[in-house]
Amino acid sequence: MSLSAHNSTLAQEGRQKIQWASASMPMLNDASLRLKNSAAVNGLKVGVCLPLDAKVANLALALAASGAHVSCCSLVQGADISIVQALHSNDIPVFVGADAALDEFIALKHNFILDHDARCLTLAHLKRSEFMEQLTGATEITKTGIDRLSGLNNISVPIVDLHSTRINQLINNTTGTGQSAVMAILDITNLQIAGRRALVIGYGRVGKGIAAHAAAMGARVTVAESEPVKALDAHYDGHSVSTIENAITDAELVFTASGVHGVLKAEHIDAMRPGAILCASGHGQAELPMEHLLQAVHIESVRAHVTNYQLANGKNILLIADGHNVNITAGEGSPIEVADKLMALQIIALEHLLSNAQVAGLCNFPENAENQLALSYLNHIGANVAANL
Amino acid sequence: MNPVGHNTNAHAELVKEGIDRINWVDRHSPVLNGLVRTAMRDGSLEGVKIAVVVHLEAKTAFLASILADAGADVIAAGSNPLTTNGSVVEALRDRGMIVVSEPDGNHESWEKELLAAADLEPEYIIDDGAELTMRIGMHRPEIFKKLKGVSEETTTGTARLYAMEAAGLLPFPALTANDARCKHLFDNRYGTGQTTVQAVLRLTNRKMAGAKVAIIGYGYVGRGIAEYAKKLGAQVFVAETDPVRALEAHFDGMFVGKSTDIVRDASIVITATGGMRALGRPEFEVLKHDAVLANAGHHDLEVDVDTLAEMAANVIENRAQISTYELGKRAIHVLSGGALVNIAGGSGHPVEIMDLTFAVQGLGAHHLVNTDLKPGVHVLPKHVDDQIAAAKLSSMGIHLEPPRPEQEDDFKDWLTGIQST
Repeated sequence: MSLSAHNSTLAQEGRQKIQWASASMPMLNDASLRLKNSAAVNGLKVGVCLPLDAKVANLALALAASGAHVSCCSLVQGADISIVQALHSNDIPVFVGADAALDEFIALKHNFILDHDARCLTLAHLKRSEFMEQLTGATEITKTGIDRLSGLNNISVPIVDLHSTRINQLINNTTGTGQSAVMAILDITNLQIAGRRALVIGYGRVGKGIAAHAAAMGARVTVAESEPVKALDAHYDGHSVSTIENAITDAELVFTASGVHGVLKAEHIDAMRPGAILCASGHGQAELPMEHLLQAVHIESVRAHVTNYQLANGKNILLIADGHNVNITAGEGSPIEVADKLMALQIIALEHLLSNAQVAGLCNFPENAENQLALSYLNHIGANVAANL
Repeated sequence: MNPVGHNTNAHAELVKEGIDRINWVDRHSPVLNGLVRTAMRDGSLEGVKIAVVVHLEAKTAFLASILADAGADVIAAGSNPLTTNGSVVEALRDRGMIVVSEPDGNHESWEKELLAAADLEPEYIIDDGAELTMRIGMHRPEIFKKLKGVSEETTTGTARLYAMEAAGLLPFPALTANDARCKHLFDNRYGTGQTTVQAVLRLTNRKMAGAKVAIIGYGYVGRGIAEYAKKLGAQVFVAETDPVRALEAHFDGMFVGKSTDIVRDASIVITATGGMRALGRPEFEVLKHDAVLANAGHHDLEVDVDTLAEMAANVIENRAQISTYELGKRAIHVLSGGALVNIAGGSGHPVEIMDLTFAVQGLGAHHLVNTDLKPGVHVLPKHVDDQIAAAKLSSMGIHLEPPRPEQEDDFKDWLTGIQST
């Protein structure tokens, strides 16, 4: 098959995935229609710097259909090439993978950036201030991104904090990442989770979702969380609560969901139960002692997305998706219905930035708009809510 | 495939992939590697010709390998045309096993494969859905007469074997592995339950929490699916024709009703009856737009896709494993063509579950070879079932103790008392 024929088959596969997602994204479709009618983004350069999947592709297409000049940049490992090709075939440039891709992306001098982990904004702010000149506003969706932005001085544009929205906290992080991370592990390993001892490190929203879904599938869950109130929450949710040191020797399945760099240390790895499965779901490799793992005596890929590390102490540890976020690298990311609300939030945030003059720096998402979004979805599925707006 | 042709590398890679898949199963199969291998070390399977006719993927391949390691003369065949894995087939052939099945088949090629397996004249069959047993009975009467025993995997096949026995058409002993507790309590409920929910979510990228899920059939499989869907946050609706099971569904907290009522609002409908056409025209007429249909029962026709195709103005092959039928303004999606969604659209049962099921099958075959059983349907002896469970628990470091004498019921004293009066 010639390369272009290959690409067009891939593009077709990508279009199917995008279309399938679109059918379950009523809120994005509503928001997109509104944006098109208002022509608010017509002619503006919008950079979508989110991990690219079929749902984000729908956002990019919605923005393009509203007259924006859209470009995408996906920096996570394992971007779905069929989606990239589908967007290319719709004349939306996509930059994938490494720092070089981000450089090219930033050079396009966007008016708006929809950022993830603040990768694009921190680089532009700290090292490429010339690329901030055209920038009018931005959004940021991850906790890591908000933390990074909070540490920067003199940010010149308003950035809407989507991470703190209740829709992201309650629905995306807990049921979205929870479901997709646990199901991805099952898909990858073909193992059973019922009866297994699982350790979840970190009981923020993501950890809470993973613990709940693992328990629902029958796992015996222990949570390691250093913040007392969150640990108490885990206890009342019915999980065992312990320290990493105590729980790691027994756990057959370890999820990191702390978002904390280096939360798992070399000595934890050495104390793991032989044959245990390790999976990052918070901040990927940064949560793991990768240097220590790479010093293993023998490293072998034993199955797609499963690598066996034979440690110097003779134990074998199975690392999932090379330590990258399991639900994105080895699954399709958050479920479509969840992404629907997040993508709609992105558009509402853009409308907010365009219609109201915002003070530079981090700003909150308008609470009323969030309530409207939730209510309008509940109406869509026929649920009646006595809402007090 | 030509072993010296230009695609030698591709073939070697395929074999390697199959071996990797089988090794992964090996790693997580303590009962097969312990109890079962030990029992088979008695040499009783040496030279015995056994056909293994189960969904031909890595777990089945591992069972076939264990039988071959014990000296059996194994013939491997798939029990469904859509569930055979090509890499696993090549890995088995590479170790010298006879495999009659090819991947990506259809019902026509599959019929030929099963007859090819029959013509190799197996003495024993480890069967799934009694698919090979029935075909030998129908098409190869001479070989049927010579069959020494069958061990059957599923609810569907068990019902077929009982029907054959009732009709006086079962001239050999048959073990219903499905009736062993180490099979149906775990394989049907946890295995099919977990992996069906998993495959539906994987294929659709949709969300379970908040979804309305209708389940047709509340046997062990239906219960397992209902349980997992409910725990993941779905609202679960159940249709069941057996009143006792329907009552059980009600007490399990499910919404129970007729199939034509419960499917109306459902965004996901899953069949698990083990029968045919659980979803047909009456249900298709009332399904809502965008409903996803999937099958977890033995037959490809639990979702009557032929009727659905007749009713549809158009059928679109959507993204992988999703066919969309356009019925007026409604789009109805069928996963994996209506084949078993957890196998055709997923990676099949969890490895640890098949360690139990195949321990039942392996020890069942061993029992058939070593025991003089009368023709008819038999259940695996309870002590073998108990041994399997104890071996699994022991592999996890869990050990039990028998009840102490003072904990036993005093009925023996009563019996003595009654006898002496």
